[in-house]
Amino acid sequence: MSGTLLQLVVFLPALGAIAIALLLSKERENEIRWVAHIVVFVDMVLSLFLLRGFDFTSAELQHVTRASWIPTIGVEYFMGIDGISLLLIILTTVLGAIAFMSSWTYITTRIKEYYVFLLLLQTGMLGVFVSFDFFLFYIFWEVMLVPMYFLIGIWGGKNRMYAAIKFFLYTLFGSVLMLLAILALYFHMHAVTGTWTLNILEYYQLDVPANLQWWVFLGFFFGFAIKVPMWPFHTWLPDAHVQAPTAASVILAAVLLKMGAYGFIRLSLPVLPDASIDFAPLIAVLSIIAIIYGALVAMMQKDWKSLVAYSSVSHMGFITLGIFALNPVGLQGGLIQMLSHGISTGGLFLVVGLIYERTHTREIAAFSGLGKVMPVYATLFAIIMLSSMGLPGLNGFIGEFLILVGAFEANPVWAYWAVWGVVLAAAYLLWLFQRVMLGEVKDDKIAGLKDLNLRETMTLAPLCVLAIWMGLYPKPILETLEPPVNAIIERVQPGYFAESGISTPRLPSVAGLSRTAEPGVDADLLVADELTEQRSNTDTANDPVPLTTSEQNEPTADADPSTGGDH
Amino acid sequence: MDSMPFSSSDLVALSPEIILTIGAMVVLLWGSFDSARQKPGNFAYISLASVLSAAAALWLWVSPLAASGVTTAFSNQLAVDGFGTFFSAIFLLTAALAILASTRFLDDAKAHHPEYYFLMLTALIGMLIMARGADLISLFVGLELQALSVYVMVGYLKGDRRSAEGGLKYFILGGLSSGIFIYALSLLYAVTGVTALDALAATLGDGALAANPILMIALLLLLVALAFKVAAVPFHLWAPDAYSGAPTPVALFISVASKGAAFAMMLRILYSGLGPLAPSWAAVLAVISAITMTFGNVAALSQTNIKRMLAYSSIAHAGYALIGVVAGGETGLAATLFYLFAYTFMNVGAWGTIMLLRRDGLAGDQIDDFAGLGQRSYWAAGAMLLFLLSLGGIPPTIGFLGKWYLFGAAIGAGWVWLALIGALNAAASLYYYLRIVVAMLIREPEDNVTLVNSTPLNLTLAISAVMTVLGLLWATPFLEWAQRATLSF
Repeated sequence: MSGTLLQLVVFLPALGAIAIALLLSKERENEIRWVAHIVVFVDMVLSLFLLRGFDFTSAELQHVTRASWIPTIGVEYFMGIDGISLLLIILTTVLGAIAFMSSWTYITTRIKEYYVFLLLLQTGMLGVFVSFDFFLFYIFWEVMLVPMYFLIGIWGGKNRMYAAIKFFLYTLFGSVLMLLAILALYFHMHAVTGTWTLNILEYYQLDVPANLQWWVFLGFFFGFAIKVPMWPFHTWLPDAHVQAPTAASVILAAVLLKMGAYGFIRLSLPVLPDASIDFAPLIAVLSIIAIIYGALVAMMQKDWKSLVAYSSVSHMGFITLGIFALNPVGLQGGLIQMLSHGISTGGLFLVVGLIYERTHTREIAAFSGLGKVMPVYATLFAIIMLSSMGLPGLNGFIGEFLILVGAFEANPVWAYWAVWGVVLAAAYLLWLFQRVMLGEVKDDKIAGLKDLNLRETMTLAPLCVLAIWMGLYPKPILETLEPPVNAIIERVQPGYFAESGISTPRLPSVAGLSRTAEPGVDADLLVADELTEQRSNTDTANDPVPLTTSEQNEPTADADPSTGGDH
Repeated sequence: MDSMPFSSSDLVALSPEIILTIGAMVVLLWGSFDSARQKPGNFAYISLASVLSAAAALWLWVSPLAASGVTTAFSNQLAVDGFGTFFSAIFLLTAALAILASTRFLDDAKAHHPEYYFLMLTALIGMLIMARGADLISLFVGLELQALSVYVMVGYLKGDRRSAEGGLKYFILGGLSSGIFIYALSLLYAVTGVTALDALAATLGDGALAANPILMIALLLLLVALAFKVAAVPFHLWAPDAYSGAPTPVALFISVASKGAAFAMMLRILYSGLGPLAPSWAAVLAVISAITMTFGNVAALSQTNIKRMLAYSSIAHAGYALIGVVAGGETGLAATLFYLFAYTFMNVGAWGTIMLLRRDGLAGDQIDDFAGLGQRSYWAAGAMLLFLLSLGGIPPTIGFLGKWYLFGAAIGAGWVWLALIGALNAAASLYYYLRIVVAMLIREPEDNVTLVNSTPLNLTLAISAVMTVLGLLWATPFLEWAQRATLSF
């Protein structure tokens, strides 16, 4: 069963959390630390095993687990991954492991609860990326808030309660609007097909009337835009980031913010293609405002961590701009930027955390000449800063370049404005580097700072390696993203690939599940599969736009010899 | 047969109530003999045994009777159907949990045990009849039996001024609403000439009376009285005082079971008797629902006394449950039923956790009393976290599924604005639920607060906590049960 590995990757952290909660008393701090670290590292290694046997040329779901859960209302336990989910899972487990390592000495109180919440958070985030049932997706989406709330609320800075509540309520308001949108879709599905289902793949086949698409898109938009966060919904972010402990900041920036962008890609675009086209200009404008506004505000910050937080707003603007360029280059760029931002901004938060742990201040003006005292630290910071800036040869460049190309293709004016974000990023990051790293060593306190120890180096060094690798050789990542990205674009802009002659894969479908190399489909659901297959066939027949390229592609998939035997 | 006023199947249909009556009499009579020599725990055992026997009778005798095609008993006074069974089961369950939660509390409060359990059992009999009455008269009798018992229970701690005040307020406003209710029923009878619900529906069904002004007045008064009973705004004023003044286990019992019984009666009258008038009452209830949940949540935001906070929260929850009544149809009804089922566990759990706390030897009822609970007892704090998340509709809890289903029903029936208000309210409500969470898990414990555990209370909390999670993970049987219950109409 290929689904088992994915289940393990998702739920291992939660199992670890339960084990720690039940088996280890809170005085055994070092053992708790070790168990938590082992769990999260094993999880990372397991997530890399997902690559083995993964079909990178397919847009279909793989590592599928599917079972009936609450059939009365059409809820399924349905998990699987495509290329997009795969990369985001690896991002989550790798950054998770690094975030855990960064807390070894940073967190000194209530160790047990801390690691329990951190582990639960991992499972919550991983669950979002693998769920293909709206109900399940929503559960993970919400469950994730609870541990993050505690991480900020218990181990945060001075205004932590305010920041934690603001974070929770802001995202919750977005989520409930998303919930209503899901329910509206659900009843529409019932009205059209007569079945109660929350299987997301079924909705990929559904043609939603334009009017409903608009409303549902708005509901999704609030849910996702608050999470991204897009301007003007970003105000919770600086508070949450500045107050959160380093590990929570890293995870918040690297993974949690990606949820919103992931939602746009996974749900808004393929389920609501027409509304996505209609709303694209609005979202592009909001993204450009976020890019420039975030950068300008970042430049004004006196607090190191707020500077990084606002730079995050700016960079996330690039991601939404890339997504809503609605072409393969832009979307791919957006996805690459999601990974890049996780690495770079995660790294920047680690850098701040390391210095805060030593000096208990984050005021930029308090530092000067750190580079002379802490050369290793300065070098690693320089690499991460340059990657965040988008220097060619590092990861940030690939994402931003593709996004700008995509935006230019969609509307040259967008690209013109967005490119200022790159310039401003260089300005605020280089200026930051100059103020804190260069110059004379200001006082004895700074002169006495210790450079990074091995553990600390090991939190930053892997990020630098990843940044360089992604910058120099992004081909495997681009190839992994290509099939799902093309499938989504084909759904949003049917016929986009007709001229270029590229054969486009179709979006994953329930019918396609049995065609993937190793189906993890439960036998009792096969009847239901056949039913939906029939229905999706009729859907295709009624489809006004002929999917020529994909239909050419299909017979080969059908003829796949590895299908029959497993049933 | 004609000479007999009732048949043996009537007695079978009434068996849960009969068993409870016997139990109540035993408790009262035994308690009147020299109570000083008796162990107070015995009365709890007898009550619990009669509640469980009544539940068994419901399951083993009443349900098969309904399945065999019998629909009413006692000349159409009592309905024998899945709807009645569903609510009866909820009330019996709540009573069982409330009895378990009461034992230690009564000891600590130095209150008399026998009368307390007697009142709880008589209230329970009233509730069962409210859920199962098929005639306006039997429903009213059930309502009064329930209400009169509960008034006394709220004021049970005679020495406590707040308890007495709560009881008196509840009695005066409850009496007023009962008066309005019986007046509405008499008007209905004047217009239609019948009191049986099915006959009422048949009379109203032909539409000849649709424009009758007296009928409209009767409907309006009826809705006012029902809104009183479920504590919907603007007829909620008794609830915060009654709930916060009542002994905590009584508040637990009435905030779940009395509210549920009022809902059962409301659904029975509206759907079974006044179904033909649905367009009229649905619009009124939609407005009441929106105001109720909004006001309940806004008022709860600023409370520092946790019992008052939960009182306002339960007002808000009545507003949510009304969404399903408004949406109507099989889905809407099932959503309300499932929500009340879910509400049972999360609310019993939340009230039960309050009973763990004791400040300076007195029952703790401030949010501050929760400070540092997590460091004293992971289990208590973890369970309370679940109950609060469930009340706020956050997964992985049954409350989440309940809200999902309710909002879905509203959207499916076209009440999108109501679903929107409900969803925004659910999000806003987290603000005050989180205040308790903050106290429990983030703040440091205070010295003068102690935990009072007792095995029965822990059992109540454990059952509630398990069901709060299980209700989502293994939701199918409960959902299907609620859906089957709606087929009665």
